[in-house]
Amino acid sequence: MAHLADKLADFFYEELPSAEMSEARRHLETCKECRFEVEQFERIHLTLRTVPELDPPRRVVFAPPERRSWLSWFEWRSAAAASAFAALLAGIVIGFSHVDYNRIVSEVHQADRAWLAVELNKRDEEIQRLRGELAYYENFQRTVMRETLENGSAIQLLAQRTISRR
Amino acid sequence: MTEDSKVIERVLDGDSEAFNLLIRQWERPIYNFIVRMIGDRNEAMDLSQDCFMKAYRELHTLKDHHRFSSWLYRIAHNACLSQIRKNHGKTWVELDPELGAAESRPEDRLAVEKALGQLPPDQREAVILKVFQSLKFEEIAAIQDAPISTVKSRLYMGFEKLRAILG
Repeated sequence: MAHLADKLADFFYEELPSAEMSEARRHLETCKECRFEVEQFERIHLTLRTVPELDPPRRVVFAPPERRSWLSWFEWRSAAAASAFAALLAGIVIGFSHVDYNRIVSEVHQADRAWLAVELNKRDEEIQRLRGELAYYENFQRTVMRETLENGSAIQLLAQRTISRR
Repeated sequence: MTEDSKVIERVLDGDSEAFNLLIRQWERPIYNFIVRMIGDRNEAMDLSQDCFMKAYRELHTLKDHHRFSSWLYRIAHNACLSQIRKNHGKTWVELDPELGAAESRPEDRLAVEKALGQLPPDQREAVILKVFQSLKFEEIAAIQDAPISTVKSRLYMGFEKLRAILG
């Protein structure tokens, strides 16, 4: 086998196929140069590994947004149904009247209602999102307060111990 | 099916609370990755928080649920690069030497952290993801959006520089 060269890292982290791993091991038994390279690589790896993992200073806080209630769903559906009914009624009136002016006004109203329905839906979504965010910040505030209390108790305990040792 | 992918399906089916399971599983590795990338504990915590919030919002866009961790690291990668750009010119913040395990000397740990901080972000990231996070080259390539050969080059160059700095 040729020198490990650009396969050194794959070998060191055992990402070579098993046949190539065995071949590389056999090669290392006889090749001083590659052995030196692997040792140097390992030295840096181990030096880096002396840096310990850190504990996050606090937990990640997550409060899922509240789900849309059946009531708001019903209200939205009712609004949509009312709009559809109004449009249908307008259609019937127009059908009988054959007056272009009324048809135009009705079409404008329908477009307005459709736009309003979309806007109301957007507003509902925004309210849901804000409720979710509010819940998240409330949860976060509770966590911070709890941690503050815990830290306060720990400090008090330490102070007591220090005083009792004196 | 992996544990992560089962939880993701629960979340996507409407059980939002289940997302907390993914947070518990990944908050520590993600925090450690970010803190080593940007060198500031408080900023790292804020960025970790943001990453999970973004992951929750965009979970429905994740096509392969088995690749959640790589996808999450990718979000963290973007957050780190953006923060590094924002902090351009700021001095690398050395971590508190008293924190963490006691098996290594504080001065050695500081030297390593400082040396890591001197690497260009792409090399530093390759080193961190390989050495500390123990990811496969293929996963790192997906996170860095680079060919595997480029990731390996970054690792070799990073190691070379660290060898020169640390002696």
